[in-house]
Formats: sequence, C-alpha cells, structure tokens
Amino acid sequence: MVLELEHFDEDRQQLSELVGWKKTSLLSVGVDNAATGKTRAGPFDTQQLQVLFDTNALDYELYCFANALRRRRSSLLAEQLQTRDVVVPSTAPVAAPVPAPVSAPAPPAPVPAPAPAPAQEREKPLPAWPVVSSKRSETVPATPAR
Amino acid sequence: MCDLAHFNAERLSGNTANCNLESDDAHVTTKGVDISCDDRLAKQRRDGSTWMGLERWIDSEMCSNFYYVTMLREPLDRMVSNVHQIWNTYADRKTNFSWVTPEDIMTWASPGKAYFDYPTEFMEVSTAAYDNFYIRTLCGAGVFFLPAGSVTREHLETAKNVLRCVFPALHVPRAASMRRPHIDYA
Repeated sequence: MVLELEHFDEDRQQLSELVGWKKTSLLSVGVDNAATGKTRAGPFDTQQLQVLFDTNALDYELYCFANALRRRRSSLLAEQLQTRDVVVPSTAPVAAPVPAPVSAPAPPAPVPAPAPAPAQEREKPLPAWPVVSSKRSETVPATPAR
Repeated sequence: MCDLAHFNAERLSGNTANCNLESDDAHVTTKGVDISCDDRLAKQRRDGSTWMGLERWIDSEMCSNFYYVTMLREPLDRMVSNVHQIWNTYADRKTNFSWVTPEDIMTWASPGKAYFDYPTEFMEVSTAAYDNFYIRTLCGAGVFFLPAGSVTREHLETAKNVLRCVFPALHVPRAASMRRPHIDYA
C-alpha cells in the first residue's frame, strides 16, 4: 500500500479497507514527531532549494510515479467499494506497464504461512524482487543475503 | 503510522519506543544490515507481532508472508522536516546536531560526496538524506550509501518496480490482509 502524507485524508480509506483499521485520523493519535516551535527560520534559501530540487530530480520522478500509483489504486478501491463486488485476488500492476526489471532474480523461497488462507483467498506469489548493483550501470544477479 | 497501529490494537514489534526491531531502527549502526525473510518471520512469530516498522533502507528480500505499507512525502518538504528533526529532536542529547547548517547539508549533497560520518544517523545526517533519499531507501543498502550524484535512472526504475511489486495492495482480499503481519516502511 502506498500512502502520501499530503493526501492522507484520502488514503485513510485504504487503511480502513485493506488493513482493517477503525481509527485512521492522525489527529487522534497525537503529534509525537511534530515540530516543537523551537525551529530556526528557513532552513534553506531559494537558491539552495533549487539546487536540492535539481539534485533530487529522480526522487521527484519517483514521487510522481508513486502518486499516480496511489491515485489509481484509490480510485479502483472506491469503485470496488461502490459495487461491493467480490474482490478478485491479483498482483497485476495497475499503473504503467512494467519495464524489464534491472535483473530478474528468482523469488525468495516461500515460507509456509502458519495458517493457510481458504482457497478463494489465496494470492498468487509476489513478483520477483528487483535487485541492483551499487555500481553505476551494472546489473548483478540476485544473491539474497542470508 | 506507529501510533495509528498502536491505536488500532496491532501487536507491535520490538522492544523500542517505536514499532520496529532494533535491527530496523533509523539509528541502526551497521551499513549493510539486512534481514532475511526467514529471520523476519522467526522474529515475528516469536513476539507475535502484527505490525513492524522499518525505519531504514529496504531489505534485499521481499517476504511473501507480509504485506507492505509505505508513506511518502513531497521530497523537499521531507528534507526541510528532516533538518528541523535533527536540530530539535536530539537537542538534549550528548551528541546533538544543532550545529548543522544548510551550507553543511549542501556540501553533503554535492556530487561525489559520501558523508556518512555518524553511524547512528545514517538516515538523517548523511548524504543519503538529501540526495534521492526515496530511491536509495527502496533500492536497499547497496545503493543507500552511494556518493551524491550516483543515483541513476536505472535505480529509479528499480525503485518503481519495488513500489509495484512490494506495495501491490489493490486487490488484497480484506480477510486475508488482516491475517498477515504488516511491515511499515515509514
């Protein structure tokens, strides 16, 4: 599930429906990590913000992608709730077509669940985990750390 | 998210004030720490938890026994918030970071710089915190500690795949989703 802080009010529905939470308001749980009021002004000036924006261009692309993914899923979830149809298990991507992964490792060995779900609720295996090299422009085979 | 999990009667993992195992803490001091699915499942069974927080880079294995939740924030907002966090939250500690200036941070994020000098603060006082933090986090430890300017479009595509693969929470049957423990990448 992908949530976004700026749109948390919209995303609460997902938490409620998919995780089963009843309390989904951030206001209801206090403000443990909120700013204390002792903050200094700023901190960055306009020029620094521009440099950080440029430096993080790829992160912004990811953020936009995540937002599109989130909106699409929220919208489909709303449609499902409206129709109240039986949910069909699927792991098919719902956003843009999936490009070839950086590498195609075998999925990790499945670990048996303690209490198998009924047949109609079982899910397909999760897709392969994408693994990348720490070096630029070099792919490596997946070797899960053990 | 940890507080919400608590208020919704999730059984929380770990002995810390947060929802995470010590090995998953934002202040973990080992650069390559990585928990396998077998180990994670064993820990989950041992403490009976239904919710785990993960405050560091993602593991190299995805676990089919868990559902994953992540929350993103507008990148510059996250960076500004992070500065206030390190200025204020740790102000009373022996090692605090009120000395950090925006100019220091710009240096950490300058091309080629790999500033990871504080082993307890890899997530907050480092190059990674100000240079494509989300991609680094979603690509795992191998990418998280790269110098500034080293995150590539290839890494971006990997991060997108992680979001597609690890967080495919659309058609999850409700009853099944509630039976499985969750990992929260906060």
